[in-house]
Amino acid sequence: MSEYALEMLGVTKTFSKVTALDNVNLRVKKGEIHALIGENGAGKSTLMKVLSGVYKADAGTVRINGEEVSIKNPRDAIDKGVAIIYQELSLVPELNAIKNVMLGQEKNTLQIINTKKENEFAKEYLDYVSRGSIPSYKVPVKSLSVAQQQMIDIAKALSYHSKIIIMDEPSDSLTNSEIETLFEIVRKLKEDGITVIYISHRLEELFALCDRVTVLRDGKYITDTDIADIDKDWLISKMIGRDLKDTFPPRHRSRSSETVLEVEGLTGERFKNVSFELKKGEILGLGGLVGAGRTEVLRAIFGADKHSAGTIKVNGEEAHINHPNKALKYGLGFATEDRKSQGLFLNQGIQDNILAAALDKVSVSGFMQSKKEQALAEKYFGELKVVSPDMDKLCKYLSGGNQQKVVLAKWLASECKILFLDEPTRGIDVGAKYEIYLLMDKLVQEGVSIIMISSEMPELMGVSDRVLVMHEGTITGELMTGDFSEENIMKLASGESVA
Amino acid sequence: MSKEAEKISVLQRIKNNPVSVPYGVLVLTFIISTIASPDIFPTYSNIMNILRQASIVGVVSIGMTVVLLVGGIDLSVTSIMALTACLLADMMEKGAAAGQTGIMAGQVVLVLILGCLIGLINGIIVVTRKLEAFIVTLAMNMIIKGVVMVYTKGAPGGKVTEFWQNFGSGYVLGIPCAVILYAAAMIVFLIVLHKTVYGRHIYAIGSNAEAARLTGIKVNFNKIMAYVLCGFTAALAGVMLMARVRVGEPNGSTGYDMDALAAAVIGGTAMSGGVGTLAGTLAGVIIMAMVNNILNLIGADPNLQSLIKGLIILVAVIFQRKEK
Repeated sequence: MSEYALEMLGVTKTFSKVTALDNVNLRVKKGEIHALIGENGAGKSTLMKVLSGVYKADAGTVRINGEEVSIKNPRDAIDKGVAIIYQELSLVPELNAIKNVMLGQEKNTLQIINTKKENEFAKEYLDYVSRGSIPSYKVPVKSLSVAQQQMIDIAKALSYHSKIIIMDEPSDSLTNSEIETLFEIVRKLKEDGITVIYISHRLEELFALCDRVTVLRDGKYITDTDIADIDKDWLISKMIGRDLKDTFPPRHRSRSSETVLEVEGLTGERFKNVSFELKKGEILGLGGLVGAGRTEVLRAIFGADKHSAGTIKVNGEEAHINHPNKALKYGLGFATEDRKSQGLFLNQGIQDNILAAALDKVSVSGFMQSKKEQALAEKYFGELKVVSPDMDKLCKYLSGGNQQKVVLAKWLASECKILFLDEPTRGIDVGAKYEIYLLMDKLVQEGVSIIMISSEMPELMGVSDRVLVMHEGTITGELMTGDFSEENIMKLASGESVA
Repeated sequence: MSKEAEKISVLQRIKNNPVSVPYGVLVLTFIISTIASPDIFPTYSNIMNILRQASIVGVVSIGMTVVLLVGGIDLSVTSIMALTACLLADMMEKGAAAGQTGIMAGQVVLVLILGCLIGLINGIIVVTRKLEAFIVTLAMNMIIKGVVMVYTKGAPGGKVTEFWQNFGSGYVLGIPCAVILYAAAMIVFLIVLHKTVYGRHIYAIGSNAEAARLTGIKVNFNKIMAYVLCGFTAALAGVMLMARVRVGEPNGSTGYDMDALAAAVIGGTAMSGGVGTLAGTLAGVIIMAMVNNILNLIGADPNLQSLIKGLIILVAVIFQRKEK
């Protein structure tokens, strides 16, 4: 018997002319939690898609338990004991937990489903994973939290008797306490001899959870090593191929006393009595747990959702913003958290995306001026260093970091003076993150004011000039740079006060 | 860049252009038809005949493309056409009795506005109630068809003034009048879709309505406008149909909805919105007219037309899937 549960050796995969994987190795020992990391576009997803049978590799061998296998399709992968939990969970929202687990492996006699058998079978795996934290297996899964749905997805993977479970960015949409629960589940899987491949951008998690790590960069295998032997800086340098001295750029701020945005007693469905001021040229951080109502507050100010009470003043003048269109007229911009569903026109080119909020600047009485269009789009295309051979490339083909750059370019092109950034670096690799921080610093120097929602504490503290923390729809506290600490933010975020 | 490289890049651009496939099919259809009927098919008069037949579906397909681009659909176009044709023919009968022979612009504008209004109602219901355009416009189609049937008692009626008789069968500079009107409508809408802010908004909304809203685009208003435009082109097609058959025929517009839809889809317009061009739709329109024409010329069973059309649509859709 081999020491390795999984070996992928010399895997190469090209798409038309782009080499996505170049002679990549991945060796995962039995019963370990193995981290797979790399920047966006490093080839992690492609490698996992080869393993799960979505893509067919051009070259290379795959061995499971020392035995060479060829995985033809996703079903084949499952039969060979490999299951993958995607970031976008693969559950049917309308079906309940049990039916989801049984999907595709229904217990039946002549097509008649044996409900009792199904319940027993599914319950075993659901109980194993959830340990009582899912209130009911009989309600549609869409009524459950993301964390609970994820548990069901894991139970589904286990029910296939999988020996290797791949988790792709499993913690991305979870709160801190939910992440802890996830870790417990993963550790339990390990105890029971299941091998886990864990993909994450959050390096802290890898040190807390994983045994070994494989680093990919630009489609190439860089190294694999025991986590115990390395530190975070070393890991980052391997990921980006150079030393990264500072995670956050130095601040160059000339914060003025001029108030550009004033919110007073704003109340809506999921927040109440929210009041704060935003000064010209500052970055105001908005901290709190997922679901604390931060996004909802910004959406209400931006006119994307209705609010029931409260006033909004822009540059001292009361503003009635009932549609994002009005928000733009007041010089507001909003880069939403979910880029794909709320920020980008994926089927359109980079140029059209950049210009979407600035069409009045490149048109004369409703008619587009193609020269002006190109000039304006080129300006921000270059300024944000979007990586693409040309501006016609459809946004769906860009990496996460480049997509975010296009979203930011759109708002810069609109020349907004107040910019809301909701989780601006979520799902973006380390190098691109730094570029976005630099850009934010440059913007505030030019007099733009920014409100940034972030669930990553280092980012919140490293970038903001001032932090407001929300808990269950209200603002629980304000922290100035001197008071920044994870402890203070956590306390406020869970509704306690800070001494 | 060397000439060789330039050549490759031109080829590459043709290959990447989404309308290349429909125009490729168009050329192919033309060649096959020419081989099948070398004496009649490629003649000038026959080509003009094809274009004239294409022009009415063509005008309907313009508005249909716009509605498809915002992620909607309009199934009420045939009854809008029928209503326009019958109403206008009726008014013209009275006009002609009073000795009028001209364009009767007032009445024509009136029915065009009526088309816009029906589109407006479609749009308002679909957008503000957030309903499926398919169902709303299907119901609207039945309602208006019912009105037309009650109004005409199901029988053709009315007269057409001399001006419109000439329009229906006449030529200007050797080109049928209907084709000139279609070309004019195409030019106007090509400008609207590709050269105006409204056009950009249409594509943005179809591509991602929520992102468009959060980008400050007035999604609801622009969507409603798309239905208004579709109502307008349907009414215009109704006028053209009336001129061609010289009477208000309540059942004369049957099938135009599906033909327009098919033309848009053959031309590369996605039913999900945001993807497609009028240039592609034009190719779709002409392909279908050519197929009708050549099947008539070679004396094929008329029942075969439906089968061939269906096959072309299927092949077109299968090809587009592959493109992605």
